[in-house]
Amino acid sequence: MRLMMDRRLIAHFDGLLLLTVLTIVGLGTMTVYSATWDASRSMPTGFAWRQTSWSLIGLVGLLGATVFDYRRLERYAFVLYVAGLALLAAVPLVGEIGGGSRRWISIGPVTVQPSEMMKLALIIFLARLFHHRIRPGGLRLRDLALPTLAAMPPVFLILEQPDLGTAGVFVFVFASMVLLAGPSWGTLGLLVLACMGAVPVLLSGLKEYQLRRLTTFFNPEMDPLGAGYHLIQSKIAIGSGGLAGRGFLQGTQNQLNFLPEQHTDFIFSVYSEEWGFFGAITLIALYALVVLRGLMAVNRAKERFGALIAFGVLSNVFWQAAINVGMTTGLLPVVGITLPFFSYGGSSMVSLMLGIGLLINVNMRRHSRERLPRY
Amino acid sequence: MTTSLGRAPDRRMLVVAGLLLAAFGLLGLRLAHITVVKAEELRGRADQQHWKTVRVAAPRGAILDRNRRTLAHTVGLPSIYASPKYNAVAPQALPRLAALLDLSPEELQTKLRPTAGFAWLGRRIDPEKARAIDALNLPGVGTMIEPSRRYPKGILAAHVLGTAAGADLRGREGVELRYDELMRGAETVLRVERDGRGHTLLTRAREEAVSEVEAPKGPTPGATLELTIDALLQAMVQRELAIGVEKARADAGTAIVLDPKSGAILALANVPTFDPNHPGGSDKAAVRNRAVTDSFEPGSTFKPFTVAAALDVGAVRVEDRIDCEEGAFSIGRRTIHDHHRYSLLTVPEVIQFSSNIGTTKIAMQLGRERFADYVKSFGFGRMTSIDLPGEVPGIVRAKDRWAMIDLATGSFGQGISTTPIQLAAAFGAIANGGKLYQPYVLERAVDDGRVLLDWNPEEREAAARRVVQESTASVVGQMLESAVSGGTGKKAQIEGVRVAGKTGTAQKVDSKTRRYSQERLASFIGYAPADDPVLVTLVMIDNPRGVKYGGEVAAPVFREITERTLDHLGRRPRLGAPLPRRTPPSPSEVAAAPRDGVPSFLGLSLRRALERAHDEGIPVEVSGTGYVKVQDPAPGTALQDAGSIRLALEPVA
Repeated sequence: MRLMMDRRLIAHFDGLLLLTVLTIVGLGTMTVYSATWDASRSMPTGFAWRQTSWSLIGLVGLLGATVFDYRRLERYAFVLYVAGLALLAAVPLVGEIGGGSRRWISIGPVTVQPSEMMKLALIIFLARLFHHRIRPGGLRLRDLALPTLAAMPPVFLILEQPDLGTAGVFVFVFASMVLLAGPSWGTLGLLVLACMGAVPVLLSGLKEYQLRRLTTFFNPEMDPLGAGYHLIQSKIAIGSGGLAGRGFLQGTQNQLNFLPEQHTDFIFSVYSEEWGFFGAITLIALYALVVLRGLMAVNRAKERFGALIAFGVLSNVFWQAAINVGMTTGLLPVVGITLPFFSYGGSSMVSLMLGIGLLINVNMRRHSRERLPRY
Repeated sequence: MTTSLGRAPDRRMLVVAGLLLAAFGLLGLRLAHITVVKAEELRGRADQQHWKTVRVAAPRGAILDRNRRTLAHTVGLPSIYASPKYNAVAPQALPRLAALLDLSPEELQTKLRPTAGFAWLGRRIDPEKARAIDALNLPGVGTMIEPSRRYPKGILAAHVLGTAAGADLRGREGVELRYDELMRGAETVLRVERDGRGHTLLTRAREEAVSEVEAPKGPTPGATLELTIDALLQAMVQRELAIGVEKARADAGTAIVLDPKSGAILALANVPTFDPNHPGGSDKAAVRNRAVTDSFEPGSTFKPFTVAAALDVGAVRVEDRIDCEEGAFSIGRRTIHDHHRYSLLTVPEVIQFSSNIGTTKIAMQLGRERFADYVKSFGFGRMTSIDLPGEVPGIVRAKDRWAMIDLATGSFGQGISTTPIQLAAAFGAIANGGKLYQPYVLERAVDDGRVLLDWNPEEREAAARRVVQESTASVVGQMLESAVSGGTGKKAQIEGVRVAGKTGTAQKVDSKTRRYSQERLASFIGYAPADDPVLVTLVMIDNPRGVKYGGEVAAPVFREITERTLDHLGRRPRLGAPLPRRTPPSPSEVAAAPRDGVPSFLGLSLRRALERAHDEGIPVEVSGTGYVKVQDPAPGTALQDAGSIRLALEPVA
């Protein structure tokens, strides 16, 4: 392990970022414990333990993702992308149905969500594609053709599951990476126009329940027991937490099962009910810290490939966190997006941790003079 | 846009960082808005969602008789419920469960509709069975204790007690209704947690979720009622009345025993009656308290009031002789008849022989104005204000509406309508020397040693009023005595006791044709001992078949009741060595019933047979006269629940 012997590598290991992430994971696991507490029998269910196991696996993955020079990934980016796509394509064939959509496949004893794996693979692949697309004056529209083509199959496969939230996150991450890659002003204007033009097309393609969620976003009280239920219950939970919260396991809206999907999409409401405004704002600050440390890695990255990977990872964390908190507080429509490092879910946890590992990796090797074999 | 990424802090990175932090800042503001500005409103909505107010009734107060014997009390009985929507009952457990709930598996299946969030499987069931169900330990099947009203003495005083039923034990009839609020006490308001599925959390694990809010000391139990009723007397009166109605093959009957010196009701019974433990299973006619809710023409039992009024104002004197017109007396187009032809009768003889014509003439001496005043004064045409629900005032003409013929028939109790309780109370006024007391059944309501309500002597006297002078009452009393000793009421005589009373055999008005029918109302009202009355007894037998006269049908029941009551109160003088009034039962009579079958009635007199039937609670059909010769089914055969026993009687050879 000649690489790890390098003192500068260890010195540049972003311990604060890791600590921040682990703190979020810890808070999340605690909240999963509460959200899945069996109030009628006063005992925990197994979710928190499973979440802890996944976190540990994720941590091992995270550390593993720091020990090699991330630049080697450039060579494997396409393979990873194809493998992720194959996994994703398998979902409609052998996937398992849960909550009205088909998102998971079983591999041996574990159930994985290929879309979460795909996210990381796509980030790496996009970073590779953009790495060598450098043009004075900014990227032209045609320079974006190949990356867009690469992003489309996974997005469509995920939309078909259907998983509008995750597909949306893909689009946001893709857009973020495009922005970092540096489009020309003209390209940017065309993209904005194209997005605006796509809105009616996208709306017409929505499933009925997705459309209903969007319309009730604008007036949740219209249907308080139906589509508006999630949002109203979420706000009631957060609001009744007040400044200081009701305390661990004391959130009535959670414990009495008024909150829906309380250990996944709406776990932030559970957390806010128990820990109040102070707890919630602390959590948001932790996410901000992750994002800022990520930005620093982006800024200091040795070259474009690393910066793009780091930015993809941090934009994923940012978009998921912001959209999730936005929807549970009623700022955004209810779409199924989990809170990163916090919501229950193994694939998501491992994938996010690996991403953070790569981010740390990029940051560590900002001064590296190691020569990589050319490919 | 630059195309290269610098190592030094980049302006573009600062912009991105600023944008991202602004987004988080926006979220923070939104959170502050929800958790600070709107916190109160949202917390209120949360409370509204998961706190549910449950009103828990206080234990309903008991009802006791005058000697503090329990007539009604409240017990907790288990009810079984399920929530099939959330917890399906295992199919293999259904037959056991159904058997314990006395349901067929199909009936149980119907109750366990899979969409039902909550379903009662059995209400107020046998605690033993509830324990057995509990032991099955079925998920989704729970037990809840519900208060339940029990009447340990069954049909005893059913019409006085009434019923309390429903989930909240609301009083429906009788004193249960009249004093509902007193017995109810102060309810507790509990706050109970409820979950997002609408479940009330009363499960064992969440018992701490139940907390008292409005009554921290718990519910205040309702007051205990102490009635004027004497349970022993009541039981005897019910039995004697039932026997009297049965013997007369009548439709119905009423008996009232009251204390003439206070108006206290010692016993009040109607036939048919009902079991307040099963109010649902009783038909309406049986639940009706005829003693206060039904009014009818009283007939001759009304005559003493006419005579008392005339004597009181001096319209006639006791020694006046009345021309009874040889049994027929015309007023306008109508003719009034007597049962026997009389020429001249003294005023006491008019009562003694119950002459309609004599009473008419006395009423004419009195005049319609004064007659109407006295009728009203004796309490007819208005409610007695007895503390039992459903009382009717009866029908008495307005003062200016009495035509001569109305005065004539009214004088002997036709053309006016009265309730049994009015008659009994008015008789009390004659018995006690002229004061009309308000009849009542509640002696006092006691809560935790504190008297909440009672009918104390001062109030009693204040509510009473003098109707006739004492001398008038005493003279009429003597006439009533002679009616028993030597007139129409001979069968009311009791050895060693002076009894005063009056028979009545009223024609009943057909409710459809509004004309007099062939049906009669046989009655006897009297009191004893005549010189110092301790009880007034009224007996009415509705529509007797066969002999219809009050003196034949009602007077013997009166005698049994009065004699036994006097014995019970220790007010019958013992005449030398106490002679057993009835011969001891012969060996054939005591051929007692085998324990688990039909008892033997063979060799019993009609009276004894009916007594035994009543005591055993077995309905009998009787034919013939004399002593029981044949019985079907035979003694010792298995007793069918609904079946009655046919008894054939023959005179002893």
